[in-house]
This record gives sequence, structure tokens and C-alpha cells, in this order.
Amino acid sequence: MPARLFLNRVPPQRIRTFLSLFALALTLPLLALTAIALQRMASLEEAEIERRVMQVAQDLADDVDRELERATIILETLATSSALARSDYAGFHEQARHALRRDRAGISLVDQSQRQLLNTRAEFGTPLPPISDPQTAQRVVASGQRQISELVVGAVSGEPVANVEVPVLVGDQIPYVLIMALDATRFENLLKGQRLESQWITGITDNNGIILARSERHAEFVGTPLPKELLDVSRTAKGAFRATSVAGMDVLRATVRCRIAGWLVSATVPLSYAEASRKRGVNFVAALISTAMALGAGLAYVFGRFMTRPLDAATAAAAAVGLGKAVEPLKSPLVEANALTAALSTAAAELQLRHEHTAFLMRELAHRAKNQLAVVKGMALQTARQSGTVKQFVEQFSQRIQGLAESQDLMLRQNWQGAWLGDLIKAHLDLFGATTRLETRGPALFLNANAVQNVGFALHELATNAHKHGALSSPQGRVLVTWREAGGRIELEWIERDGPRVQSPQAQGFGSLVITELVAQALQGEARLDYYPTGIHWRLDFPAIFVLTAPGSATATK
Amino acid sequence: MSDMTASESQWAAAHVWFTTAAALADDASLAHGEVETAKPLRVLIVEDEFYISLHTRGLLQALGHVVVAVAVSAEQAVSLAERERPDVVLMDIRLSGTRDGIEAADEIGERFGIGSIFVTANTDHQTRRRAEAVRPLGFLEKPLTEQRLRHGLSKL
Repeated sequence: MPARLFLNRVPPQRIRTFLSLFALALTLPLLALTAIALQRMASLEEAEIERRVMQVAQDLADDVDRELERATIILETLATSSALARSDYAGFHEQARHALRRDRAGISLVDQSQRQLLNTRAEFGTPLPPISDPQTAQRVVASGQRQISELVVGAVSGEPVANVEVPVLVGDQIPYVLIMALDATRFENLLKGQRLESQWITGITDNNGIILARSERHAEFVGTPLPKELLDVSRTAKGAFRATSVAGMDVLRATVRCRIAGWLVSATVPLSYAEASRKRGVNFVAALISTAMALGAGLAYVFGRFMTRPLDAATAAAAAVGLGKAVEPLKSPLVEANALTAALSTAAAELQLRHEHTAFLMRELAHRAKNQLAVVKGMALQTARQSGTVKQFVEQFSQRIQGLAESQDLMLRQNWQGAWLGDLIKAHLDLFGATTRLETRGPALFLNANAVQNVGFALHELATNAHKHGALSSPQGRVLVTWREAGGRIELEWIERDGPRVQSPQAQGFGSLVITELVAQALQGEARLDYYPTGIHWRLDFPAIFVLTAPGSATATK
Repeated sequence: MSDMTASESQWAAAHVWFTTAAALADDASLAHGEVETAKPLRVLIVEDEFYISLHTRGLLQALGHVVVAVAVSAEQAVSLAERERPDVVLMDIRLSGTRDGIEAADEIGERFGIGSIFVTANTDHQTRRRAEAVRPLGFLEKPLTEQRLRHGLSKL
């Protein structure tokens, strides 16, 4: 019912529309499932990328710590140098240079007044400028412990560097501070050494929020501050987060604070890379849906045509039936349309037959009507001849017309083929209300139209006579009508009993002419009328050619 | 009443009545008092409705013609035509039995050279064509009137 209610409200649609809906109904759940599966896969992939970003950041932070530790070890080893203990600065200069080998770094030695005593980046004995970052050295002296500087510009190299500074202890005193200036490019190399895919960008930001190193476009960004927003998020975020990089790119970023220096080590991938899987999934689903839709619509169109063509043919066939044309059953791939046109074909043939039959009946009726008028005319003239008065004529003529009508009525019920003899006898006696006094005996005989008409005339005259003068004129009188078929002939007998005593009439009227001659002649038979004192006895004998084996088996005659 | 039927001797019972009936002419001719005497024809009536054939007989007699017999079937028509050799046959087309009036008229024309006038109610085209094919002397419409009959027979 809900479906019907729904369909009642929707305007009629073409088959291909319903087929399209059908295709959609079939594919959409599958597409939805695919989309969900892809979504889940994308989420897993994203989580994996986030995990990797975190891991890379952590690994880098560890590397930075190791780098700083290595620098510390070198410095602490140099602090115990015997050359230094002897204040052999030239020897120590040589020793320090040797320790650095090809590292991109420089080692300098400053005294308590922050004055540079030597710098490996300069030849020994060259006059040296004051150090660029005296605060860190002061903290070393104050704390007696290693300190790491933020990004500074090396006083001798003029390059961005970060310093690792350790105290040189002599007894309780700290006469020197030993400084290793690590080039920012060293950290750039460290970042690049991770061998990550090209999309990855890593970076180190110092505690001032200044970029110390970057795996990509290092020279461009080093020494520039991280945007405040990004810096704040980087400091507080736990795990990976989405952000806009310093280069203005949307990225997925993870930041880890390195243990020794407290710098922020970050790893980023472009958001497009992180979300590539999701995007691929979305594209895939979109492509899938488009394909499914196109395929569904296309197939709906094809199958729609598959169905509409036979249906259109069936519609044309139905229209042809309406026009009274013959219809050939369709031989299409659609069984239903074939069945429909087959039914239409049968209907068309049936309609044609009926049309022909109707035309035949109309012709028959026209002919019969005119012929019957000729009969009535003859009947009127004959009745007039034997009528003494107009009153007598009217009475006799109306009765004969009534008798004719009875016979016609019976035939009308049998499609003008004829009538059953038993029915004919009853009908004519019923006209005089005498069926209760009638006894009939005989087999079922179906007379043709001509016989019905003529036997009807005879029965009418007999019943009229019986009513006026014979058995039916007294209360006890009875009429027995019997018939039988034998030897290709029909023998019909009318016997009156228990009526008034009968005498042979002096002269015979038209009625007796009808029953003795005219009817017999018309039926190519013989008739005989006997006047017994107990009642009249009429006998008609005619060939069985006037009998039809079954109603409808013979063509109508008249 | 030798002109009434082929087997009239069996119908003695009707003689009294029929003498009276035959003496009477059709109402129309009685009223006009016309009796055609110019050329009396011997006519065979073929008609299976006795009310109609009685009427036709009356009209013919009023016109001064002689009815030699009345046939009710095609077979009867042929045999009576052979025996009586009438001048003309008034033939109903639809007759009870397997053969119709057209076949009977054809056979009578072929075998005895006697022409027929078809007397019929509405006739469909197909039957009309069949009837015309046997070259009848004419067609008369039912119900017959004296005028129609006189006109139809006057050409003979």
C-alpha cells in the first residue's frame, strides 16, 4: 500500500526512469559500502602518516641531542688538554683544530673577561673580535656547567651558528670557557641525512622561536622567526597537527622538544600528501559513482528501448484493433509484449468475426422484417376474407399476429436458428392460458426457423379452435400433443379429450385449411384431421430435414 | 382446384373452403374492378410462406393469370416446372433446403427455357449479383402489390 500511495502521487514515468532508479537502488548501497571502506582505509593511512611524522621528529630530536653530546665530549676532552694547562695556546689551537677535523664548526677559547684567546676559524695570533654571545659564556661561568646557546651569528665566521659551551676547571676556578660554534648548515645536513621522501620538510627552531635549520630552502629561512601562531601551536601540541608552514604551505606537522637544548625539532608533510589517500579514495568513489550512474543510465536506456519498442508496437497493435484492422502477433524479445499482441491479435480476429456476424445479423434482420411484413400482409388479407365484421377481423387478426409473435420470440432466443418443438407447443397454448391442461410427449427436437413458423401457424389455429369449440372450451377438456421421429420423418399429433362432443362441420374455414393443407404443403408433408366424437385428432407428418441436430449447427433459412 | 398443388388429391378436406377463397380476388383488384385479360400467363409460384403465396395467387388471379402450381423448395420448383411448363416462374430466393431460388431459376431456365422473376425482400449485394448472373426476367420487391406485379409481368 505505501508503494501504491507513493506511485499514485508521482506523475507517470517512462520505463527507463524506473530502470534507472532500479540501477541506482542496486548500486548505491554498494557504492556507499565502498566509500565507507575507502574512508576507513584513508583514516588508517592518515594515522600511519601522523605516526611517522611524530617518529621522524623524535628521531631528529635524538640526532640533535647526539650531535650536541658529541660536541660536548670533544670540548670536555679538550678542556683537560695539557697544552691548555700549560697555557700553551698555540699548541691548544693546533689540538682543537685537530679535534674538529672537517666538522663545520669552530672552537674558541675565552677567558674570564669574555675575550677570545684563540679561534680555530682564524690563524693563531690573529687579533679576534669579541664573542657575539657573551650571555651564554657568563651562564657557563655562573653555573660551572655546559650551556647551549640559541642561534647566533658567529663573530669570526659571520655565519649563523649555535654554540655548545663548557667550563674549563682549574682547581675551583673557571679561568676559561671553551666554545664550539656549530654551523647551522651542520644541522641542515643532519636534517637532510634522514633521506626522507621529497615531500618531507624538517626543521629546528631555537628557544627564541628563530629557525635554526631547515631541510629545504635552509639559507632562505635560517635566522627568521617562526610565525607566532605556528610557534605557539608547536610548543603546546601533543602529536601531529595541521598547520600552515613558514613557507605558507598547509602541512601536517609534529614537533618534539630536544632534550639538551630545548629546541623544537619538527617534521612536516604537505597536507595534500597526508590526505592523498583520502583524496584518492574520494576520487575513486566519485569515479565509481559516475561510472555506475553512466552505466546505469546507459543500460536503463538500452533495456528501456528493449522494452518500449515492443510496447510501442503493442500500442500500435491496440490502436489497429480499435480501427478494426487485423493484428499480427509480435515476435519481439519481450515475452509480455508478445503475449499482449497475441491477445490483441485474437481480440482483433474476434472483433472482426463479431463485426461480420453483426453485419450478417443486420442483413438477416432486414430481410426477415420485410419478409415477415409480406407474411403479415398475406395474413391480414386472408383473415379479412373470412371475417364477417370488422370486430371479428380485429379479433382474429390480432390473435394470429400474437401467435406469430410467440414463434418469433422463441426463435429470437435461439439466435433465429429455430426453436425446440416442446417450447413451441407450450408457447402457443400459453397464449390461451391452457398449459395446465396440456400434456406433451416426445423427444427433444429442434425445428429450423421455417418449420417453427409453419408448425406455429398450425398450433395457433388448433389452439384457437380448441379454445372456441374444442377441448379447451370446457373445464374438463385436455389436449395431448405427441411427436416422434422415425424413418427420416417427424410425426406430430394433436389429440383433444374430454371436451364437448364433436360433430363433423358442414363447411371448413380457413383455420382448417391452414392445418390440413397449407402447413403440410409448406413443410412438404401430409396432414390429416379427424373428427372423433371424443375430440378432434390432427396428425402432421413431415420430413426430418426441418430438424436441426443441435441449435447453431445450420444456417438460417428465412 | 387443380392449380393449387402437385398432390391436391390428398387435400379433399379443403376443397369447400378453397373454392370460396379462390373465387375471391385481392382487395385492391376488387375495389378497382380491374381484370387483366390481355395476355393470360401460366405462372408457377415458388414461395415457402403460404400466407405470401396465397396473397400472390390472389393478385395473379385478379390480373387474369393462371397459377399452375405452388412450390416450397428448389427441388419441387424444378419438378413442377418440368411437369406444368409455365410461362413464367415467380421465384423467392430464400427457400428452405440446401438449394435456393437462384439455383432453381438457373436450372429451370437451362433445362426448360422458362424465365423467372425473383420476388424477394432486401437482398444483399452478393446475392443480388448471383441472382443477376442467371439472367432473370426481373426483380420484384416483397411485399408484392398488384401494381408491382402487373408492371413486372407486362414486359413478357
